[in-house]
Amino acid sequence: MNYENIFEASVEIICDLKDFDEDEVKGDMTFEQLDLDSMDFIELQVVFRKKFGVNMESEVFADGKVSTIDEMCHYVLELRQAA
Amino acid sequence: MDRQAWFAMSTEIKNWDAIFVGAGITSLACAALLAKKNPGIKLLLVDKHIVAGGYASVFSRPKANATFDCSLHKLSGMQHQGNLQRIFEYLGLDNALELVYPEDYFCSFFDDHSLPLPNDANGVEKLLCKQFPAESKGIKTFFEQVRTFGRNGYYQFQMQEGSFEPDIAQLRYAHKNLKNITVEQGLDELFDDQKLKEILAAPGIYVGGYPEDLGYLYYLHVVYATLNKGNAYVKGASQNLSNTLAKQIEDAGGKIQLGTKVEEILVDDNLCVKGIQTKRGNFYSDRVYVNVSPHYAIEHLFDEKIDFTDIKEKLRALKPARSTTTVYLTTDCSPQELGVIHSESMIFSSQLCNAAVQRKAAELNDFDEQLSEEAFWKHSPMEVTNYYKLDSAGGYVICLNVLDSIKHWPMRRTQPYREKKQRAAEIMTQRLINHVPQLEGRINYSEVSSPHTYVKFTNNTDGSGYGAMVSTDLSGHLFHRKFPVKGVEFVSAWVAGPSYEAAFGYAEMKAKKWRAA
Repeated sequence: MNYENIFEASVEIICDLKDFDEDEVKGDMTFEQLDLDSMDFIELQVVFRKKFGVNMESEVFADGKVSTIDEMCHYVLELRQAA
Repeated sequence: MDRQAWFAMSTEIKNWDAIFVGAGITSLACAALLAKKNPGIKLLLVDKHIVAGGYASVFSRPKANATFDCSLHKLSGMQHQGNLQRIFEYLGLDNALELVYPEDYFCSFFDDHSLPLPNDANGVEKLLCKQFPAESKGIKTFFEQVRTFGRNGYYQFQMQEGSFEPDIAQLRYAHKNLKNITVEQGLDELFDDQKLKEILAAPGIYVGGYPEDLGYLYYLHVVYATLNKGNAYVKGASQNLSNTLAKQIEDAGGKIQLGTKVEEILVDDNLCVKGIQTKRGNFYSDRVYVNVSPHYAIEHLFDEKIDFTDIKEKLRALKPARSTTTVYLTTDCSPQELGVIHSESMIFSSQLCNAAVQRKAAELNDFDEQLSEEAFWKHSPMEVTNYYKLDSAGGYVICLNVLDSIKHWPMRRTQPYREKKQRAAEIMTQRLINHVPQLEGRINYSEVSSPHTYVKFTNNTDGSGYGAMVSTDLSGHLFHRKFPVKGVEFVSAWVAGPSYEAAFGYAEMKAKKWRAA
């Protein structure tokens, strides 16, 4: 599992959640730009746990440590490597 | 401990582990959970009111021999595997408090008949299928939606931490198809019968929204919480629950300072919180939980030099839930003897189809007074709670509740305001008497709380008693993300969602994260 795998999966999920086309989703897009709401975040957490076996903490989104797709992918990768 | 002694001791504690601005139910629950998990923790709760609990409080009228409960009487999730039941057990509240389990969910009153709903989901489903046979397919679909999608929403905190695993396909379906429609739209897709739709939409009053306001997916979880997971009332009223939590906090070494308005949340040059300022002095901590309306907090509690541009922008999308107008009544004998036999009733208008139309017309006309009174007081569902049946110790008390808007109410302490309160009492009381004629001449005390009353005691935006409206637009609900002041966290119905269960669930999640921040 590497960054590219995680990024591809993220784009797929986000496209499904928000009806974006794949080429519209860029790594530096913020969650605000993606218009993710609280239920979308819960779904992301659930999907990532099932797909990658990682528990994304709500706090990293809340305090802004993770605020773009790129940052989320790196965070997931860190969690994977730490597991 | 008297006030001077307390103040002397408080000022000796230079640094509290956490300070709570507001001693509402979410603060109390969070502090009690923190105190239990972290012996020796130093917690300070400060509130301008003279009693703890926020809405979960009472007021007494000795001449009427009555104690009135300000809060919703229905604590959801009080059955086995209910979220609130589990937290009550953890805190020992199940042993400390006596709970009453009403036999009915509520009784529906229409012009020509009444229909009591049993207090279990299967019973309600069967009864409604029998009463509305032409709609039985839709009724079964609705309750299946409650059992699957409502259940997923109910366990959302557990879903986030990984202790509850939903079916992804169900979750995806619900988020794509049910999140973006209102209760009105969701029920219209399933049913034609207006009476049935009114009955099924009525629990929206527990969370401050009419069918045209609330998101359908969220609503399914409200029904699951209140009906499928059981509901109960605390004997001694909500104040008993609040006081029990307050005692646990103080027994563990925490302090609850009432009658003390927080004037400012203090922030250092690095945008880290450092404490609060009150007229009794400053109290210091690097963690401050804010249990007040976020609109009020940003407007009044922080130094105006702090840049809250982004937060204010998000808060524009965070709409308050409806406020309430409440008529508190007492009768000269037991309400049951006078025909109010159920602990809770919902009175529906004879003009069922017109209620939503009238509410929309009132809003389109800047909440014109006459249109608003017609819409909200006369034709919207009115909830009637027989508190005497739930707990006779409070006196012969009945409460009437409608969801309302502050926008057609004049300012307090004016003649038009007093006259309007009088009209509200007359109109709402008459609606009850129309269905229970034996009450005529037997009501010996009446008092009205308006949306302005709730602003006065809670500073909640527009007097909302339920925090934010959970509509189809959830964009404002993440207002607290990337909050510019480090160490500040929001705990209240504004972030947790309305209801005791949401308050305790959110408080539990916050308490679990202690030290993680």
